[in-house]
Amino acid sequence: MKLSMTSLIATTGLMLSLACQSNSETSHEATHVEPAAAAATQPSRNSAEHSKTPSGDTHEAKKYRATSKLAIGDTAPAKDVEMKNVDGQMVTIAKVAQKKGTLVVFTCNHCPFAKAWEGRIAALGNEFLSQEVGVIAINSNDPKKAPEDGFSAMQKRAHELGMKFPYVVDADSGMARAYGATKTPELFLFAGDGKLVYHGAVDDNSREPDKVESHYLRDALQALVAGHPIKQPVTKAVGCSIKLRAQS
Amino acid sequence: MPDATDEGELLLVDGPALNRRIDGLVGSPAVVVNFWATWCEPCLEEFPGFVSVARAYASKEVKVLFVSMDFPDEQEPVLAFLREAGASLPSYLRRGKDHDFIMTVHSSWSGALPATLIYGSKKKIRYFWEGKVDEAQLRKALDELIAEASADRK
Repeated sequence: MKLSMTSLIATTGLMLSLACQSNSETSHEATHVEPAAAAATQPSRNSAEHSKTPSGDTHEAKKYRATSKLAIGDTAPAKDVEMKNVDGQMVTIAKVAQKKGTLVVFTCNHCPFAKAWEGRIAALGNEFLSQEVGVIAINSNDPKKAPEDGFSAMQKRAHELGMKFPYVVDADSGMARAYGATKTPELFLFAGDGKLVYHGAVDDNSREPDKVESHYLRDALQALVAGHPIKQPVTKAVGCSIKLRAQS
Repeated sequence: MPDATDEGELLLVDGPALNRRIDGLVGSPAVVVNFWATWCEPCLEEFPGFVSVARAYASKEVKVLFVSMDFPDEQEPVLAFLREAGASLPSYLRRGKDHDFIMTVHSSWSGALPATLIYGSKKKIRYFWEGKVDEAQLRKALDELIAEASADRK
């Protein structure tokens, strides 16, 4: 398998040289869709609203409120959890929050999609910081599973990107669990009142920034700052699964 | 433009085309759909388990579809990997915008890779995983669905 990856990396373009690190942990989100409920109320196969997580898979670290995915309108969880920024200072989401809102970005160093979008994330974050939107980037990956996601590498990346906002370590991956974040990059935008108004992707083209047709995040930020409703509050894009630390 | 190429070893599919392919697999007690990419290390790690399951359950009419989420111009490395891993061909490569594809496949899927769905005999999604799945989990789910389909026929 390793040999084949090497040959793949050698023969392919843009992003394959940035291959994801191994994930020795098995799936962190397994959903068993109950057949009766799904059949009774969901004629479409494309909904899992009536799904459940198997028992024994839901215990949460005590300082985090147990949640699954956040829904639009939900309040930002775990706002007072301290996380170490690349400058060594401890910060919380409550501390970075601003009057117009707060952008919480789950990202990392190693994922090819996080890398593809990180320049755009840094630029948008820096731009909207000056428009009273707080911004924080969170790395929830376990560096044992993704060595590129260690603290010194994060410091280097934040510097290279010129990030004017914190890039912090989610030291027990509890923030990812609290937000229900499963991939990088994954964005949560909260309004000034702390309610979730946008969840999803940066835009619709990771690989070719000049060919983006839908600027999801920019549109959401502009609408938020202007006090307008967000037209597309949930968007999806391919990303790398977050390599959670094991729960103690 | 057709929504799927009907020839070749790698079929380009958008979301609706993939769903039609799955719907066309009549008589299977379970259809496993694994979304993977050549850049995704956990995907490559779990892949042999899926190939093993595909072989072991072929006689029970279980179908295993692999859908690469690589870009459409990366067919060569995708095919090279599929061949080396021993996956049956033709296989699938998605096309179209991420958002539309993901929402059509399964609205609860965030887009994280790897991702795996298992449809039961009535073509309802019965299992969904984001992240790696091991072979034992797959076999357990398939054994359950096979037993269920068998009971339904009695």
